Amino acid sequence: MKTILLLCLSALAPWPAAAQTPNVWLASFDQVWQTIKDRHWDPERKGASWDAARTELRPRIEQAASADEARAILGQLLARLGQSHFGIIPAEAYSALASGRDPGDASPGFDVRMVEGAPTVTRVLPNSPAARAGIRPGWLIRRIGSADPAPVLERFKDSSLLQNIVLARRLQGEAGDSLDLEFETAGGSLQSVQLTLATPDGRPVRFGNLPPMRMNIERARPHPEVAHVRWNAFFEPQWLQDEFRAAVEACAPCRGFILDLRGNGGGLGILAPGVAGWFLDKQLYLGTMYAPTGPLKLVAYPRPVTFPGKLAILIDGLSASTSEFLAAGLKDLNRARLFGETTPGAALPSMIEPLPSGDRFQFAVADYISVGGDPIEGRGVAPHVAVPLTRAQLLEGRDPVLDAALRWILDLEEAQ
Amino acid sequence: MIRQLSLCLLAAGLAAAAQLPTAEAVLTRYVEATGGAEAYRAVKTQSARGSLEFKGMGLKANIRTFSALPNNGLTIMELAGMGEIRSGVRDGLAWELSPMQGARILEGAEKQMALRMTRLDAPIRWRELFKEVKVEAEEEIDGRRCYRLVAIPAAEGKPEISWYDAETGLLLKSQLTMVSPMGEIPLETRMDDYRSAGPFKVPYKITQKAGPQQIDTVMEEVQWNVELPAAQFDLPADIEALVKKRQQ
Repeated sequence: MKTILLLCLSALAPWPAAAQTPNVWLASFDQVWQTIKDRHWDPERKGASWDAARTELRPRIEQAASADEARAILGQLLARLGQSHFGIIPAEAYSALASGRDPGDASPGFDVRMVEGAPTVTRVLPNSPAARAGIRPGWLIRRIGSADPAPVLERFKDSSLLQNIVLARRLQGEAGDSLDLEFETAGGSLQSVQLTLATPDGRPVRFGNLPPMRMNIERARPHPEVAHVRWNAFFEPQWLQDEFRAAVEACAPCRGFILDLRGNGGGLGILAPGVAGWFLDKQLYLGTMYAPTGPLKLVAYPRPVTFPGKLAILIDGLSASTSEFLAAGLKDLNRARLFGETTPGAALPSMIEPLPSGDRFQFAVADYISVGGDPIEGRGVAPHVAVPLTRAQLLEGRDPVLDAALRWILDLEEAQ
Repeated sequence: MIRQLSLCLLAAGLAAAAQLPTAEAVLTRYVEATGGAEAYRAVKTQSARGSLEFKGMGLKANIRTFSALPNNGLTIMELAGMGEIRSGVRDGLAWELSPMQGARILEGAEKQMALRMTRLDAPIRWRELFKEVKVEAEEEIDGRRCYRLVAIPAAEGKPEISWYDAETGLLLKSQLTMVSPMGEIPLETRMDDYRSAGPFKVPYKITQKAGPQQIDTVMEEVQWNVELPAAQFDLPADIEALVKKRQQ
């Protein structure tokens, strides 16, 4: 039995708040401290200094006069680790994340991102409710239901990942739900639209204990000599393999291949080297995961047919976890050129568990270092060619990131 | 005084070691407890099926294994949501095929372990498979008195440790290191619920800890000397392609 499954997915879910009394903060402190003691991969970080931190800070949390004070002490405790992806997420933040209804997997049929600081439609899916209503890329979202999304987005202004998750959740629902939206159109006028949410294209995916989700893979030829594959999650290995085999075989003489990881939040970590294998002619590894039980390399084995031409990878602020393993590894191996925006740096396999206080505790369970020797966590993967989205380009109907990749592949101009 | 104490401790240690059975005695007892040398000499094929679960992840799989002398094997694991993972051994070639990572041919210590584990008659061939085998200690496993046996593979590979029940002779636990291009992954296996299956006694419940994961396997059927199709151990097309690529 050699199958090691690595789940690397950015995910957040609501959790009910609990009453906050001094005892729950003490219990929360103990849970946080013990979790690190038991599950952190670095013995030095959970050694004598970690014991000393407990001795110093535990009496202080007993004296904490408020939730804010207690959280500040927990923050001091976690700061001793000096690492990202360890934090306390206040219960109130989860209330803000939740829209008050079951998110479901139905959607209005458009992608939305923070562009120039505002929630903006970046793509309208064909045959979707949004397409039928005439919604266009570049429109700004001014109202979702009865609420202006700006205040809640302002609360998460330090994390584009969280901002985008908040937006996505507020737009999701059950198939058949009505959603009232208000947009600012190209000309600056406001337009109200009522959409009936629909189940998006794609395959329903059930993986272990994760909630059901929907996966889609799109293959296209944006130019006769360029293949383009876009997929939104790293699950369904057989399907992903079949699609890649078909794409590589159909485009064997092509000049270039584009892997579009925009909006792909990750999934099974082992699929990063699995995808890389279609583009490597020898066995290489993308990076190393350092877990308490020892290091594990993400090894890519060449597939029976491989694509030898130019490889471009498109990334954005939602290309997380497994997407980052793949992008960083192929970048470090000098096999791919990256276009778009820096990824969120949410590359560690992490977990989020509830605390007795009602807050949640996020903690990483392993470290990950890309083959180039750098961690991704907290830093993200920077593109070779930064292509920030602008509203003006979206309104013109352009995909500037895809355009930049095509220009490089086709030698139309020197990539900057 | 210190020297005298050291000598006493040394003598006590030697006395304890002297009471341990030899590795040959432990392994012979295991062969007898699981069916006897004659049964092992008569076995030609094996077919088994069961189910397994990746604990804590909610992932389940069906597993089927086929083996035949002299050293052919095939394992098919159908994992819900993941597809089919196949691994096998044929004519000294060990391979693995999965939709996650594609096709690969095993090398070095990983290959040697696959070859060793596929041998149906391994219990009576331990002298060929291991260059050194010794009983190191008597230890308790879940209240059962066991002999801890350490075996050094004859080919490449890390030492393998096994615990044999001193009373029944059955194998209760093993610890080994899986060496692969991913790195070294410690594998601990517990064997429980021994039942008679044809001429042999085999564990129907197997609990494994591979690195950070626990995998529980329950066997449903184990058969011996069944007719297997002639093409049972044929290499999959992707493995054949890899073999040809290597020969070029």
